[in-house]
Amino acid sequence: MKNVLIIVACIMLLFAPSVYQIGNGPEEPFRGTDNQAADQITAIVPDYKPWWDLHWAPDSFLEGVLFTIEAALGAAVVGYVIGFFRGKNEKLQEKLQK
Amino acid sequence: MHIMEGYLPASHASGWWLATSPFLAWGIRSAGKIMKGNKEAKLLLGASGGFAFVLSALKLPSVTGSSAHPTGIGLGSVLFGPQVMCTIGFVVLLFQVMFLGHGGITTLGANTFSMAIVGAWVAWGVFRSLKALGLSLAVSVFFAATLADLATYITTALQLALAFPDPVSGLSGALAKFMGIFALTQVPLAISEGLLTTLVVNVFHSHGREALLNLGVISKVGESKP
Repeated sequence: MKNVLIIVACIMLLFAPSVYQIGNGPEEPFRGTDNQAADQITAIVPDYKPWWDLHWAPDSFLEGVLFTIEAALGAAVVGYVIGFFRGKNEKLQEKLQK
Repeated sequence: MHIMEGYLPASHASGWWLATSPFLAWGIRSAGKIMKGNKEAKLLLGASGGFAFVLSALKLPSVTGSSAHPTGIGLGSVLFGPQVMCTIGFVVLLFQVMFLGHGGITTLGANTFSMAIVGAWVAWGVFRSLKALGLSLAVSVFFAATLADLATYITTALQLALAFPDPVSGLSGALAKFMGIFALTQVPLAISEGLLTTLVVNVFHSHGREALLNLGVISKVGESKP
């Protein structure tokens, strides 16, 4: 029950910004704070040039796909481990009942 | 919290690499010890890594109209202590640089420092303190993960302010500007991270109590409920 409430709260936090926003926000809606920090650096030091370039950068579509793959990989591992503990616990309970 | 590639001057970038490296060595040793231990601890370490992968890949919208990532560092810090999470956080960030074009090699030292060192130690410190005060497992975990997430982004703001002090208002002026970008945006995300971390710990508490006992996350007396 408690866990269901936690999930509901997370979903509400996820959708809250679509309904309500504080302040004006960045020009581009939901621009990442990582990018805004880079913008701010350029605002403070207008002639700052990154002195090292990323070896490559995916376009925004591919970036979305890659982030999804990363999340899926991580979730698979977490799910596997939770499954392991569940199974082990069930076996233990069965043994105790016999 | 990902400072982009090349966006820290070389002196700062190498300074943060230098500061991070001893923690990294410590983390690798700590991971080695866990991997020699029992199967359940190894699996939980895997889950901690997996959780950090998931959470740091989630780009979430915030009520400020910006978006950012949680970090996922809190779970492992609560379960294993802060040392090993430096290694795990480093691997997560390295993965994101290599395959996702996010963050940077030159800034990896600084990013590891904010997420996997400051974040991990804050999570662990908060968790241990609240437990010592007698708060429940769930409440302690929630605040540990939430505050670790916030501390990570405050550290990033500080790192950027140190590197780029404002020509007029100096370090404090720059810090205010960078905090303005990161801090408020991160609050709802940090709360989400705290909630999700609590959820996972609750699940492990219901099904793997013995493993949590062995790790010293919970103690035998008076902790039947999460």
